Amino acid sequence: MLVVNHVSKSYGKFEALKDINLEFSNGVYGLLAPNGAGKTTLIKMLTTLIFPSSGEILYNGTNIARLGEKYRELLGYLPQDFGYYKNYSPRQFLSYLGALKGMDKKVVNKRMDELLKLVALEDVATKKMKKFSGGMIQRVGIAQAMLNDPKILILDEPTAGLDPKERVRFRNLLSELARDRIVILSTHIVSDVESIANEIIMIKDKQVLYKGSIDEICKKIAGMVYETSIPYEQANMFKKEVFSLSEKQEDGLLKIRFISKKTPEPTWTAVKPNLEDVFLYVYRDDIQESGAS
Amino acid sequence: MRIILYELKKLFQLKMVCLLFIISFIFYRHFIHFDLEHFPNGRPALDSYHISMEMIEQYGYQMNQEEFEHFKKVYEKERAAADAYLQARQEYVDAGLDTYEKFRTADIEKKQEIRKLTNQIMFVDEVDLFWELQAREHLIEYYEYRNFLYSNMKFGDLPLTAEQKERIKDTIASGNIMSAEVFENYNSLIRHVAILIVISIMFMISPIFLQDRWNHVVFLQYSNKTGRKIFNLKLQTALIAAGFITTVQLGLFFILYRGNKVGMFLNANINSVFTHEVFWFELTFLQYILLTIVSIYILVFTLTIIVAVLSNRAPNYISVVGLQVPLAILLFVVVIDYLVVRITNIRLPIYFLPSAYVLLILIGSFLYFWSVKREKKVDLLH
Repeated sequence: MLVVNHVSKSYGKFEALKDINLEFSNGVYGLLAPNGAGKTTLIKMLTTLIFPSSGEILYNGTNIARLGEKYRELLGYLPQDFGYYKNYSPRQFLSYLGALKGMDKKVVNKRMDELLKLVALEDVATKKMKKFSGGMIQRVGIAQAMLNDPKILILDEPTAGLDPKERVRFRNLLSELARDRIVILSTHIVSDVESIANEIIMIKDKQVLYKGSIDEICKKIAGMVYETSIPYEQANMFKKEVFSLSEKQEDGLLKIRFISKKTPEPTWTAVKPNLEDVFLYVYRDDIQESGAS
Repeated sequence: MRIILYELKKLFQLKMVCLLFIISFIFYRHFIHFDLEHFPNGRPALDSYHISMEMIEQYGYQMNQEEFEHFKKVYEKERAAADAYLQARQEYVDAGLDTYEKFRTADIEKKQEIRKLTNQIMFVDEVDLFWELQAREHLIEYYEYRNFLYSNMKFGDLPLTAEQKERIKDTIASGNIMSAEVFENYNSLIRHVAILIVISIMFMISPIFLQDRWNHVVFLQYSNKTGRKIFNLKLQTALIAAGFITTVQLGLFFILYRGNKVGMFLNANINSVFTHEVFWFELTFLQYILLTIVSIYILVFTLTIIVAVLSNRAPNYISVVGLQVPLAILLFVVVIDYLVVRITNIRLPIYFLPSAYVLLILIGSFLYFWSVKREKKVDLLH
């Protein structure tokens, strides 16, 4: 079990994360927050790339800093900005990383064959990566993260660059992998985690805001989510009174999904909240700010 | 070792090796080739070189007063032969050049005809005898007036110390035979070879950390089992690569240098009145060569650590190059001249060289251990 215990991280006077407490056992964890919320900082601490300013991260009761390579050999990590050598082929790159992971050469070769097939790159396994598309590179990244069959798989924005078909494949793969390992999936794309995450962790204002199953988190706004159809001319006025989640045109009217704490009107239909509703509601300030900028 | 091999492969990419070859070739053609191709450079340098070899053959590596008298007799004999050569040619007799003495002191500036006649012997016919006589005269002067020549020896404005005077006295008394041409030629060559090696090291080692950061691979390296040990392994890789490059460059140089045919001088003492050089230690030319090689390796390893640390700290290639410019100037203008060429010469205090090398080794070691220690704790933000 991986435990984050009262962890804070500061850079000088700037506080990036404040008193984070989390526990991870086998399963998929979706780390959900808008860009810049501190997801990557948390992930970097879990991967020993940066060190907590206070608090500790324990794996099976021992501080990961003390475990050192014993911890890191259990780790598979796909960074947000996945780097590679452009003149290397996937095979060359995976061989290099296999050496860094301390794996036996024969094991690396066998595992490489399996993984390149799994991520559908076996045909280009010996081609230089400089000609690869973003999706192909991301698949190399996924393969390298799984090379050592890690007990803890940490993926930072793993679906960036993948097409819809690849995303589905990837999600299914993760669900299967998570049976006997911890999979932490950091993303700002709700759909990436909605169908596969056992638990969702939402970070806001440098702290953990929610941690729980999707149902538990959705309950936070239960009874507040509605849908209604209104004429276009009333839209602006209406949106000032409610928090709009999504809008679409339907039968000459504007069908709007929204959150309101007021007493519902007869034309409003209560709907079951989903994770995206929670995400949009929780991070409404951040989203408006980033939209404005 | 497997990781080091991977890192070496990354450093010795075909593109980089080809560029290094081109750089080396251009540098070789401009700065090294001449001293290899044109040695000894012209006359009477060629004659002086031949006579130095003849002296070693006849007298061994030292020449005593009795042997010097013999050497002078040979000179007199050749002089008589030169007289005979001139007297056998009517045009020289008619021009009043019937003895070598007259030939030697003739005013060639004023009389066009005399200049034509001397040029005929020296530059058209290239009569060995006349060139040899010049070379012998220089050697005789160096030996005969050695006390006078050394009494004027000065290093800047400072008066000579008792130790420097003692070494000069020993050198004068030694009668060691060494060719100034051979010694000068080697110093010129090794200076340029050292510069080429420095350029090669800077060029090849600069990308060692930068290419990982440039390609955003550091996060993957540091989060793997090897973790931050990779930094130490990469430093070791840099040292191995630098050692390899230096060995290859020196190896190729010495293969080419064999063509200069200096084998006979390898056991000659470099403290010689004929080279006008005095050193703190009684070194043979071979020992001197070995010392310059050792000094180049120490310099290279220290430089490698500095370049590797810069590669780790500098934000981009331009910064790495920019930071290395003053370092390169310092090395080319000062360090190589004092720590490789004329190493252990008495122009510098006896303790200068060991102190300088201890300092270099300390700088290298400190930078190595400091950077490894720092890397263990540093937060990897970018």
